[in-house]
Amino acid sequence: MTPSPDASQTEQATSFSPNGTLAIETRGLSKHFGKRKAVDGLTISIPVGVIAGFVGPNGAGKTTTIRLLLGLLRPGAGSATILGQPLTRPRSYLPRVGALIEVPAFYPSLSGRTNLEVLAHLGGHSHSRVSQVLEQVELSDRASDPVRTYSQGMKQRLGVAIALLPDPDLLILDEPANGLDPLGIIQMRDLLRHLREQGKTIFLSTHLLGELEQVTDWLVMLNQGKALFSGPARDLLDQQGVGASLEERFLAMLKGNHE
Amino acid sequence: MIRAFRSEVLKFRRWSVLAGSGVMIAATAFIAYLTFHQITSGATGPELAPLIQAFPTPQGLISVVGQARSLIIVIALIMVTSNIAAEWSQGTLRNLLVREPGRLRLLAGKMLALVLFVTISLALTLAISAALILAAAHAQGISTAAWTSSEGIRTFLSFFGNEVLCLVGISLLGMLIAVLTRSLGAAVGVALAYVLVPEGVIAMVWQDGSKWFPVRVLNFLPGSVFPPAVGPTPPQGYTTALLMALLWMVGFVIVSAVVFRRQDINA
Repeated sequence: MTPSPDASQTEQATSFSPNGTLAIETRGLSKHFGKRKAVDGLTISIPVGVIAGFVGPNGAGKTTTIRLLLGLLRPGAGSATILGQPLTRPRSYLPRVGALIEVPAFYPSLSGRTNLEVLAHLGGHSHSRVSQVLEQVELSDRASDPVRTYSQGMKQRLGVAIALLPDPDLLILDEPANGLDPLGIIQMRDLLRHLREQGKTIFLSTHLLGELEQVTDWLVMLNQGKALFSGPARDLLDQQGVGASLEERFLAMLKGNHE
Repeated sequence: MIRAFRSEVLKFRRWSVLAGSGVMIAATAFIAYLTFHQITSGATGPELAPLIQAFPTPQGLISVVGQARSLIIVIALIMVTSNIAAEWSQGTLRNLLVREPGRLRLLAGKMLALVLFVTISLALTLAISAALILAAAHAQGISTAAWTSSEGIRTFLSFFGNEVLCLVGISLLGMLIAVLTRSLGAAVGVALAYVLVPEGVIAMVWQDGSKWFPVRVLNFLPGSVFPPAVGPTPPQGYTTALLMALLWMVGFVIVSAVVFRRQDINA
């Protein structure tokens, strides 16, 4: 019997993972807002311990998918497991997940440190962990200043610090390089690689395809709420022939999908 | 829930939160002093007559200090409503829910902290206003023996207890408005409009029915401590008003919990 595409995708993802487990697995996940299908029967598998790029044009359903995975939205249909736990039980997996969703949100009149402490208290994380993540994103020297005085890039780094707070096994980042200068982007790239070396899984949504190509092991390409591709990044690039860039491949797939 | 409470307490450092408390203290003290000045300067009029009558009695101090009660209710309602609704408008709710996915625990911890803050603000407001009026009375050689007698103190504490109960109900109403509107501007607008239109205008033309409206019922509780002419004393009786107030509070909690638990967070 030939395995279903879903089963073969899961098999491929588990074989890719260093310990044979999946960080994220969705099956027919859907979310509609009125008549608009934001996520439409999405089936993807992300192995543990990889940097998984999550790409797609504006309105493809990336942020909605991320919100579904974080338990902020209720799916209309389908199922998912995150770190082996069902989507319906966010308390069982969210303590091991860190997230930066769209534009990072803060209390502007509070300092960067207090913003982190608010979430550290809530998540039961130690005071020293706040100092550690501030150090990690190089914000220690401005930690006592109100967030309203921060530049866009500093706010972005504070958003990443919030995501790192629980020392997560799975890090979900939605456009983490927004507002970062070239040095900040390089530092972000190094940070992601360092986290992957620690065995963490990073689910990275970004429009910076050139940047993504440098760090990603796994790719999920989304369009109109459906997965156009979910698998090893190398497989996708090889489909176009040696030397094809992710950007070229992305455009070719989108064009093919529209046709 | 305790983690959510402790997390919320950290946010009280914001100037916008402290400003609400400051406005409550300043406005109440000002109105109390204005009332005291009118009474002691010999002003007359049908509105002042019950206050002048109550002034030398053990209920005199609360009659003066309690003149800003409606304002305290409005300020407390805006403080709680804006605090909760801002989590949606600022987008910070998604951060909170990722760290505490138990939505009811988050809401309960947050409300516990907000009610505590409102209670502390009220205690400071009444203490500062009472101290101001006592000092002003001493300065003018007016006897305060009735106010500081055991009955006067008991009346004051009874007023404080009932006012706390009233503000707990108002805070729960604020929570409901914030959960339903999910936007700072809309929440504050709806809260003010509700106090002004159904509870204000409709109550004027439909007095019999309006005595069951939530803000009026809640306001009857501290009102029952005042002399009947100062009021507002509950026309349905204190016990009935108290039961009705508790029913409203339970209703606010149930609706807020059901809606918030199932709500999509798009903020």
